[in-house]
Amino acid sequence: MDLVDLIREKRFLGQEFLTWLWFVSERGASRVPIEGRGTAEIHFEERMVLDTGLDLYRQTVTCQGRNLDLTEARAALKEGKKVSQARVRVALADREWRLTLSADGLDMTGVRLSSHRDPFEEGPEERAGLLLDRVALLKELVDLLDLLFEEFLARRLDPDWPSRDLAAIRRWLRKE
Amino acid sequence: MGLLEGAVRLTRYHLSDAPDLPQDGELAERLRTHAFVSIENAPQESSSGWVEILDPFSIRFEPQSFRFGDIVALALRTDSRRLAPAVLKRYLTMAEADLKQRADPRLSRDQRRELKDRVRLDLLTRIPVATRVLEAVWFTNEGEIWLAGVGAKERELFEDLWRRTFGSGLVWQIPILLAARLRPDAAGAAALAGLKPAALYGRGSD
Repeated sequence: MDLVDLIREKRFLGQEFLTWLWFVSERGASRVPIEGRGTAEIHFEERMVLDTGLDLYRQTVTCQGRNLDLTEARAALKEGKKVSQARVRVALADREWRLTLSADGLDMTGVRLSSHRDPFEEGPEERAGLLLDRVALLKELVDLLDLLFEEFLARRLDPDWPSRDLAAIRRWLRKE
Repeated sequence: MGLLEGAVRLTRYHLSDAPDLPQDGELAERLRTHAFVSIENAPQESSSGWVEILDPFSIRFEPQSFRFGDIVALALRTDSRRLAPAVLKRYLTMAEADLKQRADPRLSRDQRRELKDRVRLDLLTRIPVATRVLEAVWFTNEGEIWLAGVGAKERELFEDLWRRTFGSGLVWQIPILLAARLRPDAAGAAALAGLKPAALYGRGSD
């Protein structure tokens, strides 16, 4: 199967991951335990895009605004749409990142990194330090998201997924 | 915007196979072979190639410019200029009128084509170039590569240059391929292959 077909056929996996992440973050009041790393704070904020898929009749809903309560996004989920993009704030220990995560390729955009270095430092050594500092911060974020994805995957591939996690997601949606 | 400043956009790749990591000298040579070539004084629309990540105007590629421990850091520079069709049309009309007046009032198809190429090349050298730099890092121990860019064209350009430079392909880490990497066991692979979308709100399969 070529990459385009694979993206189309298995796109739902990224969408379900984002939806699951939203669910566990809401269930735990933004606190999500990550094995071996403590408890992360994951907050869905400002902007979320949901759609029905990549077919000809694709319908998209964009929910955005400050202090978004995401009621509209929940309504879209109930209509069968799935999360395709979300603006997320992730915090762990003294680190914090803000980013937009896309379901298709788990691409990240608008990633804000909090480095203590001055971005306008001029010398080659200072700039190399800045680069490595920012790459390390980004790597921490990527590793964290991988752990979350791995946790989702373990649950999604578990034979108990329908009766446990999926049932819990459906209950969460019905409650709203 | 990118790995050195501003908000980051990120695409993740994994190496399609695991070739031996070239020594720094060979790596530098490969980068120089596929280095950026300026079009500042050439009638070209675009040019792409590797530059040093800390200095996009340098293609010396001394090891300290790209090797940072287990990380190889590079940048893909693209210079481009765009000739608007309306501008070309205007100057072509003027050139045709001039040629008709000086030589033959009836221009053949070949003459028109030749004139159009000449006008186009002349205009191209007069348009300033715009520079775009995409940074990339290669975690050599993990076989993972990051591109600080997410657009389809950016990815295509990067993947092509990477393949030509290093001879191995890059696999974009879309969720299903990332999942396959995280669950390489046979049971995981079989479960992933058969996975169907879940109906999160009461319809479809579980």
